[in-house]
Amino acid sequence: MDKKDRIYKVLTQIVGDEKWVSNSPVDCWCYSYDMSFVRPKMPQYVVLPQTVEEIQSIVRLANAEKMPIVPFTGGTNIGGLCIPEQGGIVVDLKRMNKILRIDTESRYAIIEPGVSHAELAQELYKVKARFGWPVGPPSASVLAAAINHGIGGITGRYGLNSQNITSMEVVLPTGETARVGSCAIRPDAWHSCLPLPRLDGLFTGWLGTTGIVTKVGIFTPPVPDYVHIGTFSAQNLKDMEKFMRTFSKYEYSDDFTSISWWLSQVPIPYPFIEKPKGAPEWNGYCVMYGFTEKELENKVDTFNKVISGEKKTGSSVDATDVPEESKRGRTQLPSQIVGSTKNYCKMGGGGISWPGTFTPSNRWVQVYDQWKDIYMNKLSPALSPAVRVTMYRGTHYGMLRLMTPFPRDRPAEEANAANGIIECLKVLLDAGGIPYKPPVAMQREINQRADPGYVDLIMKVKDMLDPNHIMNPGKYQVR
Amino acid sequence: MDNFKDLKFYSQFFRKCSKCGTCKSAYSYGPPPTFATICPQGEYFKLDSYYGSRSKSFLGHAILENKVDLTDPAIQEDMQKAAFSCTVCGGCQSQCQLDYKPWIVDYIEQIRNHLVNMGIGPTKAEKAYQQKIIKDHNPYGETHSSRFNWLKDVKNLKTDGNTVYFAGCTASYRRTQIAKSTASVLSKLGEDWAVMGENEYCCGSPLLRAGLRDEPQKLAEHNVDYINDQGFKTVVTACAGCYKVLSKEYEKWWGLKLKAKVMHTSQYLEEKMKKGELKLNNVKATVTYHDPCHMGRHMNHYEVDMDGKKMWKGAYVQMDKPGLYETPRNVLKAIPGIEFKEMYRNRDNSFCCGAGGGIKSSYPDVALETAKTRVQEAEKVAGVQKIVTPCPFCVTNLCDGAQALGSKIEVVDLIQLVDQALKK
Repeated sequence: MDKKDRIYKVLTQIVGDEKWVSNSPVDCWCYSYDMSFVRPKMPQYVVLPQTVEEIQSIVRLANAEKMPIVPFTGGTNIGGLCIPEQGGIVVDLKRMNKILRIDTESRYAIIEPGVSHAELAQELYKVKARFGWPVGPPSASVLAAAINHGIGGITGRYGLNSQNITSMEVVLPTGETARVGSCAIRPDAWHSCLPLPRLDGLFTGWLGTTGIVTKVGIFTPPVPDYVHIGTFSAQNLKDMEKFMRTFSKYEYSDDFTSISWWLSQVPIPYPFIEKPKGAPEWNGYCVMYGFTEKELENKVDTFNKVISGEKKTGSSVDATDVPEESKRGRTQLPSQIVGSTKNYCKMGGGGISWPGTFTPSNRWVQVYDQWKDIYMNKLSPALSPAVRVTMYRGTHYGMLRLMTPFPRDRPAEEANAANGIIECLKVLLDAGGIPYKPPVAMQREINQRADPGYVDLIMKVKDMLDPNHIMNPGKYQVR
Repeated sequence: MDNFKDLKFYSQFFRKCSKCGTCKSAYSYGPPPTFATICPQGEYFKLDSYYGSRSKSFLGHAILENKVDLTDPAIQEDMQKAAFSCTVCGGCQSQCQLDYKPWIVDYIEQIRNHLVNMGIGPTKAEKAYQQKIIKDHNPYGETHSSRFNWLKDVKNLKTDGNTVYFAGCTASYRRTQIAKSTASVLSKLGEDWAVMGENEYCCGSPLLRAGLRDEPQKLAEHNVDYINDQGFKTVVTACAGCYKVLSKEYEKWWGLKLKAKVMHTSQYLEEKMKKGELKLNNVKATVTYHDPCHMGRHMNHYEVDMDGKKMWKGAYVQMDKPGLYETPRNVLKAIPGIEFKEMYRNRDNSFCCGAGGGIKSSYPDVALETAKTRVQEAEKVAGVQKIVTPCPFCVTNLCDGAQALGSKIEVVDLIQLVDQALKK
C-alpha cells in the first residue's frame, strides 16, 4: 500500500467511516481557495472529525507522517487563512457543531468550532443575550472569528471578540489536549481566563498555527431594552476622526463606525467612480444601548452635545437623517445581505479582500490619503477607496480597513487589486497599523518590519508547541 | 425562450459566487433570528464539495478550467457523485444574494449536461430509467399500455373536452390513488375533462434533471403536439414536477408553447374556490404542509438586468414573482375542520423531501435520510397527524421516510384530502 492509500486508510479508521474522509481532487479542490486573491493550493486529504479524541489521533498521524494539517470551519474568511499553503490534511470541523451551554446567570456560552453565527444568534436571542456579530456570513464560525480577533457589533462597548473569550480547550500540535482559563482548574467552570496566566494568547491571533481549538467559552452579555442609532456625516476624515475620538472617550457606543462614500454605496462601485460633488465623503453611525430610558437619554444627549461642540469649532461633522430601514441594518446582525458580501463585491465580480487593520485613530487620515492616492491614481483600473473606520473600546485605536472587490474571471484585474492591497499595506505598516487575519503576502511585509526579537519569539513558541511544524505551516512565513 | 446554454456561458455568473457560504444554511435576522439547515446534499455528505451552490461554483470552475483530471476514471466517479447527488432543490438559490442567484438551478443542471457530454453522467440508475422512458415513456419500467390502468373504473371516459388531466408517471403507476382522487375531484366539480390516454408520455422531468437534453425534447414535442392538436383549453396536473416542466420548461428550453393554460390542481381548486364553486365538507385533522421544490422555489421568478440599464449587465435585481407557496395553503385552509400548522422550514426555506434531481434512484440513502429529516420536522409540530403535499413524488419519498422511522404521521396528497372533503 502506498503512502497516499495508507494515510487515507488510517484517517478512515480514526473517524470510523469513509464518508468522513476524502483524498479526491474533486473534494480537495473545493478547499483550495476562498473569497480572497490568494492563489489556490490543494490539500491532499479532507477529514471531518466529530470528537476531540479523533482530532488528537489525526494530529498524531500528521506528526508521524510530517504532514501539514489545516483547521477549517466555514471557509469564509477573506485572508486565505484556511488555504493549505503546503498541502496536507484539511481538518474540517463542521461536524463539531454543538452549543454545549448557555449560562444566562454567569453570561457565557460554550460552543464547538462548527457553531455558526446564525445558529448561536438564534439561541442567544431566546435568552436575550448577544455576541459581537460581525458583518460576516451567517454560516461563518463563531469560534474561528473569536480566536482570530474578529470584531462585531458590540466591539465599542466590550472589545474584540477575542477579548471576550472566557476559557478554551485545545488539541495541541503534538496531540495532547490542554485547557486554558477557569476550565483548566475545574472542568465545568468556563467563566474566565483570568486570574490565571493568559495562555489563551497562545491560540488567539495565531491563524490556526498553534493548535486546534475544540471548545471555547465566550462572554454573552445581555441585550439592553433601549437602543438609539445616531447618524452623522463629515466632509473629510480629519473632522470625522476628531469627532469619533472625542465621543468615544465616554464609551457610550456599542458600535461606532464611519464609512467612506464609496463603501456606503451598495455595492461598492467597481471600478472607481467619482463621488458626486457636495456629497459628504464620510457617513457614520453610532449604536447606543441603554438598560433604562434615562441611561439612553443621557447617551444620546451627550452624543448630540459633542456634535454641536465640534460644529462650533468649524468641523464639517453634522447629524444626519437616515431611513429607519438603513439604521436597522446596523443592529440586525448577522445579516445575509452584508454577510454574503453583496454590498461589497457584487459589482466587482465575486472576489473580495482587504488590508484590514488595527490602527491608532490619529493615523487614519494620513493612511487614508495615501490609500486614496494609490487606488485612484496608481492602479489600472482605478479602484474605489471603500474604507471603514471603527472605534474599539476606548479612544486609542480602532479598525481601519479598505474593502477591495475584484472580478474573479479577469486575472489582470484580480492582480491589479492584489497589487493595490499590498501597496496600501506598506503605507499602513509604515504608519504603525497592524493587519488582522493577513494573507501570507501581507505576512511577509509584516515580518520585514518586525522587531527581530518578535520574530524570534514567534519561532520559539512555534518550535515549542509544534516541533514538527505541521500546524497550518506557511501562514507566519517564519518556518 | 432561453435555449440550453453551454456551461461556458454560465461561467460569467458562477465566477460571481464569492464563496461566502451564505447558501449553506437558511437564516433570517427576524427578529427573532432563525437558523435552519437547507442543503440536503450538504447535510448528508458534510464535505464542502457538496454544500450549497458554493460547491457547484467550485465544481464548474474545476471542470471548465481543467483543475482536476477528468480523464482519470476515479476522479470521474468522484465528480459524478458530487454533481449528481444534489437534489437540485434550489434551497441554496433562495439564500444566495449575489448575481449568481438567478442562474443556480439551471447552472447545476448544465454542469450535469456537460458531464453527460463528457461521458461522466448520467448515473447508472439514471441511464436505466432513461432506457425505460425511451421504451415505455415512463421511468418505472412498466408497460406503456398499463399507464391508465387506474382508470378502469371510470365511466364515460373521454379523450377530448375542455380540460385534460396530465396524470404524470408517478401518479399513473405508483400513487394511483392520487390519480383516482384527481379524476374524482374533476368529475365532482362537473369539469368537462379528459385524459390523453396512450398519448400521454413522461413529461421529461426525470431526464432533464439528469442533464439529458435530446430525449426530453422528443417527449416535450410529443406532449405539446398532442395537447395543441386536441384543442384542450386547460391542462391540469397534480404533479409538481410535471407542472414545472409543462408550464415553464417546454417553452423556456425549446420554445414549445402549449396553447392550453397549464394549472396545478391547487391553482385549479383555488380558482373554483374564488368562484364559490368549491363546497367542502368537514375533515377533522391537524395537518402541516410540505412545499414541493418544483412548485415553490423553482417557480420563483428572478428579475435580471440583462442589458445593464437598471444596475449593471447581469445584475440580479429582485425576486419579482414567488412560486406557488400560498395557493395550495389557501386550498388546504379552506377545508372545514382542518387545523393547519406550519413546519419550521417553509416556503423559500422549505427543506426538500429528498426525492428530486434523480436522487431517489441514484442515491437512495441520501433520499431516505432527507425524507426522514423532513418527517421528523413534522413530528415536532404539536398535534400534527398528516403531512399534506401536492406532489406524488414528494408523497412517495416522505412515505418512505415515515415508514423507515416507524412514524405515525400519515403523508397524503392535497388532492386526496380535497376529494375526501368535496361534496358530491
